[in-house]
Amino acid sequence: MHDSNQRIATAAPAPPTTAEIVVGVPSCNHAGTVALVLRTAQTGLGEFGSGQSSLLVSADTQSSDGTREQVRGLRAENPLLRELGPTERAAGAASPGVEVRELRMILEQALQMRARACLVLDASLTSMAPDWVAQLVRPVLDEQFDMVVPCFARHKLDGGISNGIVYPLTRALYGKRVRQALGGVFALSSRLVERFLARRVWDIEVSALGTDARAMTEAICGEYAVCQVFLGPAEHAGSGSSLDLSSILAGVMGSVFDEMNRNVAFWQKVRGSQPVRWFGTPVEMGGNPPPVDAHKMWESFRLGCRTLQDVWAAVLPPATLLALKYLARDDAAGAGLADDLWARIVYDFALGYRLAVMNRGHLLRALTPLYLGWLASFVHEVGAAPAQDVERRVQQLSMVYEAQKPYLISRWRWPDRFNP
Amino acid sequence: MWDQIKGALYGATHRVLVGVANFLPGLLALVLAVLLSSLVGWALGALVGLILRALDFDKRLQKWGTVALAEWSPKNSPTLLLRKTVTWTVVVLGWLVGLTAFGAGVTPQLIPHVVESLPNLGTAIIVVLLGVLLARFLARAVLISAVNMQIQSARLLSLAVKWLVLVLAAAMALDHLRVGGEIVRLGFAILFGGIVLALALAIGLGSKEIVSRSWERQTHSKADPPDDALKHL
Repeated sequence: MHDSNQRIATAAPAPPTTAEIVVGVPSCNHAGTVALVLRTAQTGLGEFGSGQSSLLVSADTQSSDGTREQVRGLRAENPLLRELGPTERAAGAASPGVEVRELRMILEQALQMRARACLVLDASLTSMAPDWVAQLVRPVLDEQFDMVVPCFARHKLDGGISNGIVYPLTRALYGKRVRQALGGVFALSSRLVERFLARRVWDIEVSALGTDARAMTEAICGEYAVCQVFLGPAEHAGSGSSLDLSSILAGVMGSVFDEMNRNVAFWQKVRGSQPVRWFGTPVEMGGNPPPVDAHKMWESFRLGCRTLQDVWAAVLPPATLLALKYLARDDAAGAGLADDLWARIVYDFALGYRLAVMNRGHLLRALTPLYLGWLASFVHEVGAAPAQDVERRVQQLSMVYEAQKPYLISRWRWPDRFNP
Repeated sequence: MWDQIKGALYGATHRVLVGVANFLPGLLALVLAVLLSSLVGWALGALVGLILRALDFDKRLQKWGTVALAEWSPKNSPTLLLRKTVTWTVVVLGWLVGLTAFGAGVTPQLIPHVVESLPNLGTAIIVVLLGVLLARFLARAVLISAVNMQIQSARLLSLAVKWLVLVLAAAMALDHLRVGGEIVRLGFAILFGGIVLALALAIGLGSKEIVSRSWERQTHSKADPPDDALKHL
């Protein structure tokens, strides 16, 4: 469909015109890892797809660190690896983001190849195993699911943003219990790929951290079948070194709140939540969990309470501010943030984001000390508990988010009148 | 002699009455101009307020992402800001008209001088307004970033940045109006230097822990576990 617009390099034998499965790896300056991911995906396709025709695609328009040279080197080993590179159209178009553009190119390729399943992988994922390809694609091919998201194994206290905000919030909003919505990896059915392209989902501005949230909410709000797969641990090259916590939190929450604003009509009608089908078996995380300094987190929260009251006052109602002040008197996170207070804080920030009560970057970054306060309370409460208890605690928190949803709806509809 | 006294009295009375007769119309014109302009200003302001409210101006501005204007506005309402601007513009114009009528003979140079100074005054006001907006924006950005970096003197840092920008804007505005001359420049240099010194001290004292932690990390072996190795995503 878009052949004229894309410079697609292929080599003999003759390039296939159709494929059952398209595996795409969008990349931007991933020279250190892209070859590993592509090789693993190729091995995975070989193990899985004896009867299936498949295509491996690398999409990259912006790299300047030799990523594309790495991909070209791989093409000598695998002539059927397809490389989507920069085009005049892509370079000149008003594009929302680098890896988002690559993602759109992969989806267009999947549509063009009439693929039944399109798997999108993260180019920085160094811990990927070949069998992940089959595990992610099989529910689409065999069970007619439209979107498959991974649930990576992790240490019990890892994933604080996911456990404390993203999972409970998206579950309460959209009514589906997708445990890890921000895995950076997902498989799509052909009809969902068509919908994404027809609705020009990727033309609307979205950050690189927000592609998963956009894909998931589009699928759920479009009433497509979503499922999740247990996978091993996800190790990302360079994770934690390039972005500080407040930038990560701002990036993720900005995307989640953007999706919330785009789908108001849908989530306001949703009540409760339903489980989402699981595939595979949970993978136990080996090794000792990393050390966690809950006291340091609590001190960050207290510092925020002492200095950010004026900023928070633009977002949070007086009762919440008072409760926070009261909590900050404690030296340790003993009492902790109550679940209902924490859920209301997140909902208030969502409303503040919608109303743009201040610069949105400032607003999202001002959430960091509050998040650390919640995390310190969480670690204090379940730090010594077994992993199953931690998971049970997350589910309990999620139910409180659901219970507090009427508060969100009231404030969303009448922000001036309903201000406890 | 009585005639001379009578003449002097008549003359004085005449001069006073003539003076009053010359002064009163101007004063009345001034009062009338101020009253009328206040009335017209209030009415025009109310009309502008009504129209903007009908257009849902505040919410539209929010949707367009113009947050700074709302933040600077009284009660966070740009509608109120525009309404007051219209009212006060008309009132000031009324005062100028009144002063012209009142001081036609007394201060003939005042009005042309004011009119000539208006562009400079307007520019100076814009510089101050932009300075206030920038100061608030930067102060909040510094405050939030400093808290997230766990700098204890975050508030002091933020205040210093705010006053740095405000002082700079005020000095620029006064320089533009040619008010103060060297004194303003000298005062600005002293204040600016003082604030920069305070800022340097605040950073130095507030972030000494961060610096020492950073040094420790660099000097210790890489095998040492980091303080917080949690993966948040």
